[in-house]
Amino acid sequence: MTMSYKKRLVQRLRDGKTIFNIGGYIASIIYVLIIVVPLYYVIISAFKDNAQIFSAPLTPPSKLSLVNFINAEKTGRLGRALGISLFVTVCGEVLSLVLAFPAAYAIARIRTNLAALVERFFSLGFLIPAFAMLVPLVLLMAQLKLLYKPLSLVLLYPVWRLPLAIVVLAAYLRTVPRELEESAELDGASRMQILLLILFPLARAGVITVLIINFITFWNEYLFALILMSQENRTMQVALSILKGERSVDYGMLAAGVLFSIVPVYIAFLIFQERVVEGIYSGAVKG
Amino acid sequence: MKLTHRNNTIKDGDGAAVGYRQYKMERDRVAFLIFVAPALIAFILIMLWPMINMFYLSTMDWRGLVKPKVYVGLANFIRMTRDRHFLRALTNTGIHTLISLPGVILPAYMLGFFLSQRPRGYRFLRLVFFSPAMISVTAIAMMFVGVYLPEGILNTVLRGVGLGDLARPWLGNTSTVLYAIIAIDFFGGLGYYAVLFSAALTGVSNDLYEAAYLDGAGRWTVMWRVGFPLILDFIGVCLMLHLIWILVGAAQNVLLLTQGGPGDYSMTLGYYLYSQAFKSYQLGYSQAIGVVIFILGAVGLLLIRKVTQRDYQM
Amino acid sequence: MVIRKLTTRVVPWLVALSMMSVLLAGCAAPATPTAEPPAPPEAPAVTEAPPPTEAAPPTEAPPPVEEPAPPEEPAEEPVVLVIMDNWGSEENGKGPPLHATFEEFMAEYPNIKIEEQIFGDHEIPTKVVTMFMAGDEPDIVLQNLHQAALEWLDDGISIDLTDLSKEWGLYDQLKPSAVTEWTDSQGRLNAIPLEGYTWPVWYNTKIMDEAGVEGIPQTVDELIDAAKKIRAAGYQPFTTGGMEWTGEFVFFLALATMLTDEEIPQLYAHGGFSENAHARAAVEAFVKMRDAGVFADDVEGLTNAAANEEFYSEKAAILHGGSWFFSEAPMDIKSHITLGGMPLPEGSPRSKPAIYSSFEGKGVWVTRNGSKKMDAVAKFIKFFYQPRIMARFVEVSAMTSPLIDTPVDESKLDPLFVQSTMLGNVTEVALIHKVYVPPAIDEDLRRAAREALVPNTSVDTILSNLDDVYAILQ
Repeated sequence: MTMSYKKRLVQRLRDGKTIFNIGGYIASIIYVLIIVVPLYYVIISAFKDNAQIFSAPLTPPSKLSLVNFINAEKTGRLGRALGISLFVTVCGEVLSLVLAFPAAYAIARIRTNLAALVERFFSLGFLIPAFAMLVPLVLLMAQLKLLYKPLSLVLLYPVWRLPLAIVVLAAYLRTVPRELEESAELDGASRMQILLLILFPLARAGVITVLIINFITFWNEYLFALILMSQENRTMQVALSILKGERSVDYGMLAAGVLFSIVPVYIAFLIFQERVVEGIYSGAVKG
Repeated sequence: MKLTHRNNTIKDGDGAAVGYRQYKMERDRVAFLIFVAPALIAFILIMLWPMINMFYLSTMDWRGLVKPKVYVGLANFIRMTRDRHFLRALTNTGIHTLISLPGVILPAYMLGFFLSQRPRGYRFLRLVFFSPAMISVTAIAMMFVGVYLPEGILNTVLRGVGLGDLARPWLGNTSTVLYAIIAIDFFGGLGYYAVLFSAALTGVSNDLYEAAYLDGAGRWTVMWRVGFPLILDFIGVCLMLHLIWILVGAAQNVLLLTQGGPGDYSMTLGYYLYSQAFKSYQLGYSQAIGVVIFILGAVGLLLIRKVTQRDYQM
Repeated sequence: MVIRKLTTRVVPWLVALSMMSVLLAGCAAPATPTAEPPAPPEAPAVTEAPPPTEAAPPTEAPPPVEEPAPPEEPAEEPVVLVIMDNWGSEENGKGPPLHATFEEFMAEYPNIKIEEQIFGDHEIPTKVVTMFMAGDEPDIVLQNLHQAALEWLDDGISIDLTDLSKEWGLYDQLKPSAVTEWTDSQGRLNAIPLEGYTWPVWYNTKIMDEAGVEGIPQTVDELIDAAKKIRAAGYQPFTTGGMEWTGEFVFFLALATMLTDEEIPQLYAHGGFSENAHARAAVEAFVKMRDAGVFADDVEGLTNAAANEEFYSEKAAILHGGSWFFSEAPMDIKSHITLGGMPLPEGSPRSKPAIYSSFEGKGVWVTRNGSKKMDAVAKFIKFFYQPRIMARFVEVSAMTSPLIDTPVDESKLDPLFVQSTMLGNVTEVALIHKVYVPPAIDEDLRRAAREALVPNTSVDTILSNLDDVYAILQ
């Protein structure tokens, strides 16, 4: 009994598991603190005023007043911004699928020598730093008469992320067995029917992956939204940056705005945690 | 049914079959183009065309959207060599890359490996690690406004542990501002990549680890000698994503927090591009900076690919 | 068969997809209800409409009268007037009176609908130009004499208002100094001046008394001496947003203490700071102040907000603040604030400490689009410049009225504003350089000014930084 315990201990020490785990836990705890302390600070600050935030940064608030949230909503018009962001994100998602799914189908399923070429084109396009071409993009949107309208983002976001969507969807479509498609073809189904009725549902894991990655990108995008939107149409992220006023900073209100913007997304994340991690991972692997 | 398979599996000279095959190929090609066209056209119009425009504009002296453009060849690029703000931005972006690329990705790999071993509580750790990825970059920047404040949380913690001498206005100090901005990458990026790496490592067959342990290798050795090469490709992908973030994405932290100040001590290439375009109205010059970013990015990505390509077998 | 089996599983997906396509169709429709208020989406449509109706009714109406048209005015075609400003933003005190004015105007002219577009004032120049390119710039812009806007007349974005303002009977009601500032070298009126300001230096006498400083510093040496005492008493001396524009203007004002008003236009238009003896002496004095600790700790890293906060909470004794800050300063410190100017270095050509005072704060610009609906624009501007309406803005925000005669309710005026009207006795107005700086180098010049606040930047570096900015003009 003691022998085997000792032996096990020696073995464990020899392969370094214990030491390794101790090290791992220490590193993890440090990192968890790095994440949790600022978050805690934001949460408590959202219920305090400047004076309380400065004098006792880490002390919990004495009472749960919502005044900062009300002010944040009023100053940044967060409710409206939320609507704009939702509109842009949802329409962007739809457009993204409408454009990417047929293309991915063609690349994965239609045998032609063009397929490899087009796929390569898109996988290179993935690496274009869109921000670097800020000026031509503004010009383009002005020419399209979309400048300062949400529609500009609805158009820009999906196209900007199109390569990723196509490559991920194509990768998923390749895993769908051909037989289903072929028997449908024998039944006289058109390509469109095959696409919508058979492949779209079968590749739903890929569709969900694309939807998740796109959601995070579209929802969180700031720079294009800043440049291409009017004040009236600002998105959540731009509204958030407005809360850091130019003349004076109300840190409590700023914290409340940050909370306001992250809580809905975070709750969604808690619910779909596995899917989100998996989606982003497979997006990165396949992209 | 074999008809749809590889083109050149023709058995013997069956003329009708060849004709059908030809017809089918033709039809496939048309169908392919129809399905790909919307995506292709949209991408060419909204991404490729502006990109070509960027190169075109970088050769122009263009000082405002309604001003005439004057072709100046490479003058914008020559001007960069004498522009100390540009040189500062280049240096700062270089420092950012050198610190953040290995500084975020390597610890993230280690944490990811640790997570992939499924230590007790790994689910909780994974949840916390991934949380910053759910917070928008803007929200993170706004959080750090409070963190770096003179009376903010960082200084409070420092004073609390008796390091009050180190307390300073992190974003307002010429010697700390750049590092304060770089440090934000660690908050957001580290855990994100750690979770992705752990997901990649979970796919690694356990047999490989077992074999290494049987050979008497320790965890540390296994981590670097077995796990690391196995997902090197994927690490390369993450390095690329992070490099793109450093080159262009990080501009937004500068924009939100310091606007390049104090002086030009936190100037980065991405922010300088923005500032030249929308504050100085030097559109041609700003797009020349865009070209530099583009080229640096392309070179960086190629280098990463070269380094992370697997040229040996496990 | 496979298909039939699949369809049962597929139905929910199809439903989802069709819903999505409906949504997308919604997106594709121009400018969506979520995106914009129910206003008519396209301005051009409106611009094209008025001429025929305006021309038609008066001439052709008479013969067949028996129409059930009751009002005395001919039913006018509705016009949408798009106004871009930064006053309407949430943190601006001028928002409520501005919106009240809009409402009153629309009540008086039911056929004109004002659509307001609110942007930060630093964003407005870019937005106007990009929208101009797309053909839908706002009709009226409330904007300062900003660098970029200086070229709007030449670029055809805005129109010359000299004759129009005379026609509207406004020209003679405006203060001549305001008109002069807004008139360019070719005699064109860029915009109708709206907001004047004074931009003095604020001294907290409570802190200065406590520190044993006697009187308001008049010279650089006195200021340095005062700063030492203020620091000794545990306060910060002169605070400013060294990372933003307030810091820039402290430097520029310090520079102006040594420059004559004749030198300023020449110097800022073409550079040459290193060779100008006055400029060099000014920078030397500035560096002397900086190195002697006149400015607050870490001043180069302060934002406007942080600096104001430092002053408002009485941690710092001196601030360079414009009249637009008067109304937001805490009431309880106003009683012990004395307004003054920037102390003078030895050998200064000026006789009293320097302040800025100007009408470049805000003007009403009429754009190309605005000129197409001149009738509505004229009505609005005449309405807007009524003395009783200007008085509202003076009362609420301590701006200087552009009108010669503005009947303000004295009891509503801010005490600091009242004090500022008497600054002429103790200070001298320095010409503000802004309008002489070529737009292409404005941002770089500002950055060079911010760098001057960074410790250890030498006199020669500051001067050559300033001159380097002008290199791209060649």
